[in-house]
Amino acid sequence: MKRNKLLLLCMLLLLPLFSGCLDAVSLDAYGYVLSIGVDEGETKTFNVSFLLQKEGTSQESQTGAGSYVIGAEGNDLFEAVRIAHAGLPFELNFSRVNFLLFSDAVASTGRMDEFLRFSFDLMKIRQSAKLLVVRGKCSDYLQGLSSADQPNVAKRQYSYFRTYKTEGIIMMTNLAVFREAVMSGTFDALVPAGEVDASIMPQQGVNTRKTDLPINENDTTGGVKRTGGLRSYLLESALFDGERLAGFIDADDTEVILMACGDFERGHVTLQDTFGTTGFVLIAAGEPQVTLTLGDAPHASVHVPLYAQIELDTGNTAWNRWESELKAEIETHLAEEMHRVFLQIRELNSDAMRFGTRAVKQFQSHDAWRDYAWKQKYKSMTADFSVTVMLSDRIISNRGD
Amino acid sequence: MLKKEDSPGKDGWKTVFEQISEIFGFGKNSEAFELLETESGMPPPLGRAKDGHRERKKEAERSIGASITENEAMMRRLFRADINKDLIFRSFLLSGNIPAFLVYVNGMADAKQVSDFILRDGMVKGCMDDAKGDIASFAVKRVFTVGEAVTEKRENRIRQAILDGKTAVFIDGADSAVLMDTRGYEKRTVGEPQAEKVVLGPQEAFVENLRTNITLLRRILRMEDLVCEMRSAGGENGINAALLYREGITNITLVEEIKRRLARINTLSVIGTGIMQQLIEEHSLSPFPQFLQTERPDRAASLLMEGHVILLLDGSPYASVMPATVFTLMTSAEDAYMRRPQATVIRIVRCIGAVISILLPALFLSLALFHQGLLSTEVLTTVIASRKMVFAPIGAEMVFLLLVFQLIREAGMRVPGNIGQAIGIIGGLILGQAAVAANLASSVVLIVVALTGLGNFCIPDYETQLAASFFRLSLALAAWAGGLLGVACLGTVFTAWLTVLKSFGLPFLAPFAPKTRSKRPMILRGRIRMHAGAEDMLNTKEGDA
Amino acid sequence: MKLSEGRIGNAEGIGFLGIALTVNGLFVLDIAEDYRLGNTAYLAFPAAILLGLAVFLLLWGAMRLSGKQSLPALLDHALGKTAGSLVLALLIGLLLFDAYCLLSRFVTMVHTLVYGNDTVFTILVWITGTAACIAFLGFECIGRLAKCFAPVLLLLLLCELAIPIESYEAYRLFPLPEDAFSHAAADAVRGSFAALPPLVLLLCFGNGLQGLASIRRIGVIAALSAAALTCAAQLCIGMVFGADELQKTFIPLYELNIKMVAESYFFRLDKVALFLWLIGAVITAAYETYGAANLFCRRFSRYDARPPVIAFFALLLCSIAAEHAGCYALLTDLFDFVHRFGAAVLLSVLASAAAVSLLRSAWKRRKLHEAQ
Repeated sequence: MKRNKLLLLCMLLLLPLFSGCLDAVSLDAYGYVLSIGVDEGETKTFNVSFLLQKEGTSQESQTGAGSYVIGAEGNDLFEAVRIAHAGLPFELNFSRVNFLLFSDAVASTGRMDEFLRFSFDLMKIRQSAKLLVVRGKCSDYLQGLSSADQPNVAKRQYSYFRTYKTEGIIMMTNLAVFREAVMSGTFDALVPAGEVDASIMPQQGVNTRKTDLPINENDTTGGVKRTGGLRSYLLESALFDGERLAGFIDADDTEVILMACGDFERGHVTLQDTFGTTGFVLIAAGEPQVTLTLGDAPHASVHVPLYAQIELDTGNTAWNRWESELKAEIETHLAEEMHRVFLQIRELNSDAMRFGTRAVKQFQSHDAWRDYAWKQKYKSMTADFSVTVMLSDRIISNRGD
Repeated sequence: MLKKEDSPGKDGWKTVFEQISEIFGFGKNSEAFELLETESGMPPPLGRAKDGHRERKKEAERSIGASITENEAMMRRLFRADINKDLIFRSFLLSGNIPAFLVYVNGMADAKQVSDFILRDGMVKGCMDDAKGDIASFAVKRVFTVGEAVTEKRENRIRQAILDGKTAVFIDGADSAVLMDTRGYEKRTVGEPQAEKVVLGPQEAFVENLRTNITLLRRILRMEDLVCEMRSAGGENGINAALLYREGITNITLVEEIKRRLARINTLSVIGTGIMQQLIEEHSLSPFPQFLQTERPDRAASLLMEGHVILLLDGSPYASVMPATVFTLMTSAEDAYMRRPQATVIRIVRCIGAVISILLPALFLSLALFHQGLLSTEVLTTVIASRKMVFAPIGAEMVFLLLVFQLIREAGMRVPGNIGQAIGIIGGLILGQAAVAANLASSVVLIVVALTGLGNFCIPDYETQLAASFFRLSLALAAWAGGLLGVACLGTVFTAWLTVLKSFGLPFLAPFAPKTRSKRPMILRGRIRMHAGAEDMLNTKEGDA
Repeated sequence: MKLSEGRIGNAEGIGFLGIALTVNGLFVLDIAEDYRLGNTAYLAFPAAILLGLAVFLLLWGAMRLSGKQSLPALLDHALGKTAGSLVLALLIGLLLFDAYCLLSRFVTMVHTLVYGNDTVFTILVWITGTAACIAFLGFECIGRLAKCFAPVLLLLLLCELAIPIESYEAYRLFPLPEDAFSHAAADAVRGSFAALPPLVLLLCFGNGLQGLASIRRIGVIAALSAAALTCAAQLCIGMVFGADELQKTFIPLYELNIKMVAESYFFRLDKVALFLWLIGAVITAAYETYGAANLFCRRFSRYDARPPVIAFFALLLCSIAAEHAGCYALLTDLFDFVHRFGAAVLLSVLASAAAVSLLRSAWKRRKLHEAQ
């Protein structure tokens, strides 16, 4: 009897061992994907590029560290990964993916959501990965990010995104926000748009030599000549109508949209008049107040409070003219810009200013909201904008002296 | 509830209501059932309660006779005097006319005391002339001038006293012997602590002599309620133990329980406190000790004041403090001597070190094998670069390096003096560097193991350090098998184990779990209060007041 | 002293009950169907806990007035031994069902979110084995373990809610369901199947928790804290995910920071948080299963709760393994049945028992008073 009990106890204790161990894969058996780019494919639906981080050659030095790009075609991400794996000595690990890039060709056909609707849980791609639209090919853009001086691409990628957003040049959007926009219909996503300036000499990457990428001396960065730095740049934003790319706007217009929808932090505006050029740093002074009246033609009244600091004053008269002239001038200028941009994005049927998020609060049920068909009503929406600009502490502002 | 015979009206017939009540079970007392604990503790999950312990051999309590010839023959036979030349038998005439002899162990007793205070005083002519009745008692009161002298009839007590270093004097015609304390064996002088060195604080440590150790405590605690109970350690080698506590303050249940467990000891030999602890602790399989072993009298005294009980053993330079909690084990002697901010910082660092020592290898393995996404890209590339040509799997590498760390530690302890320190340096630097150069190990894993080792040495108590090693290795293996799931599950099981661990009835995680009335911080160093009482978690009489 | 029950204090009691109610509120009640008509989870889930607290206080009052020290005694006093046994059996069943739901949920979470390439059974054995060990070690162990981890889990929850603060938007709560309050009330009644059993179980440990006064204090503090935390958590979840998204999101609490665009040091600690919540779930499952075993022992005069603990965990292991092996039709039907009717049945039965006991006690007192 005692032996039977001992036997039973041993079996109970051995049960966990019979269940098997969890599969462990050492971290050096993976290649870590930092960014995924999706272009139109030639043989398959998509051409997917992967930006991989490469470690140094030895423990003591980081020689050889950097990043490189590989790619494969497939009808979806899983197929592309399968094809890519066929030619790699390691397994791809997507847990460090920070950026998802789509070419304008893919985005304009509305296939972004189709691509994104696949569950990324098995690949451990985080829903908080940032989205980017590329004018041109994503593979070129990813190649343009490589630099021998900065082997840590992920750190650099995020840091300049954050800087640009703080400066008001772009709007940061991630996968989850984009999917919310598509599913809920209460707003449309505003996604940063990148491009490659082919006139810039490519920096030495891990697998790129200076002569690998084509050079086009006539190319520019947003219409402006630039030398040095990375080939890839961010200066525009992509407007979406649901899941479809609707158009592009420049950095200044992006700044205006950010002001109107409440995501603005800091930006610049320059005024030129008979007294000279006056440059202002604008800082958000609170949430915009929006009054929205629904109906067949919704109407919104938007009031945006801002702080200003005088950054440039060639005429050296800005302080004196502030109350009498400049304040009204800048407020009118900003209000007009907001209105202009609003009309522009309304034409593209993109609710980038997020009026839908205000409208939804006035409904008592999901059915009523769906029945209202906000995007249909948005096409005939009107809006007026007003801006209040307050000058910050005069002592700390640069008077240009 | 109405009984059958109380039923009104019909004899022997229950009413309808009663029948229904019985069917539905109304009135049956559910409180009568209680889950009981058996006297000998919790029964094992499968099978019956454990069998009782072996009964201690009852020694025959024989008394000596009045005949000196018989007593001498008995002593010679008992101590195998024909072979055992350590025993000194000295016959003399007490008071010049009464035959007597004394017995002592050469080397254990001080021969000078024997000759000066026994023989010289005993041989004075006429010193026993006025003796009437019990001549042994008369001799104790009027003749022998040794400080401690008692009469004893029982043979086994006389035998034990002689072995302890006392001198026994047998007088012809007396049915009891005179036992006098003439102990004078060689013993180590009070020196510095070896394992519990402090910068601030006393530099005295316990020695192997029991009397000296008790004296060291009494010098610090000059209180009448400090009680020292001498008793046999329970081994057949016959050494003594001393139980110290504050009578009237220390929880009497605790003292009784300790005495009960000590009385149960019946083993071949008790050489050191470690053996004694293993014989009286309740969780023998627990890696965590249920005692605190200290070589510092000041620390032992401080714990005595709080209501703990101290066990000293002759021949062992450590005091065993009971009960012990995890917070007691993590406290260093120096904490009380430093100012509060410094002591607090050091305690926090110590706790962080202990946590790092136990968890760091497991967490690193989990992240490296299962959850790479939690590591930043920089760390990933650094670790990958460091493991470029290392052939061993990272789990095996980690276990191997932890083993090497233990080897270096053990080697350093066994080699004496300065060479031991050098081995630690050589082992750490040269071995580590060579291992990395030979691609046997990666530098990142080596750093993890080094940090682990440093954290381990932050733990003040040696046995707790060893316990931490046990947990560390177990968690590392669990991390290798299951990642963070394994670490979380096994860590929870270990924590659960700690919550049920008890040291003489005191929960090991007290006063955190269970919470006690005291508001004294456990990790931070509390204020030295003017009127601080004993530790409330020990349920002392002072705390009840 | 009770075998394995020991003596535990208020802090421990609040710890394990608070953990049980919060974990149930965040992970068991979070069912996709509840968002069909909109998101009122931040009203319904705390209301379920408060409803359970109301029934708990009713039963406690009945116990105090009738002089019974434990719930089984009260049920026997009110309903008789047979009916009382049936109610206890129902309670045991619901406790095991709660434990099953929780463990199953976490097994699925850990498998889907972390160990996607591995089999479910391995994960199941790890988790169930841990819960079984804790329950095996007894009530003292559960209480003290909860005392150790309750502050950690509280801090974790507060950090989890604070970190994505920049991504909270009130518009995601809209549009509100048309009959928000009635919708929430119906959900609250249905959802109390997860909140009521742990609360009611507390009434069975009178001796271990040092009397009725302690029990009431523990129950009230734990329930109010859990209700507040659940409300805050569900409100934050509602401000990150709209109702449409919530119907498709598996565990929204796990993904609370996915809409953050500014990364921080704590951005990727959701996996660590998951395993800390796992510890909370394991403690809850151990509490509920130990409680069921304890009730079983009391009813059948067994002196050791440990063999039933092992048996119940074996049952849970097999059920969850069967569910993940595809034999889930029966279990899904059972879940739907309990989700729809379980709470209503238990609520009505317990409330009736309390009412009957109160009446009987009042009648006895009156008789006694008249006799005097």
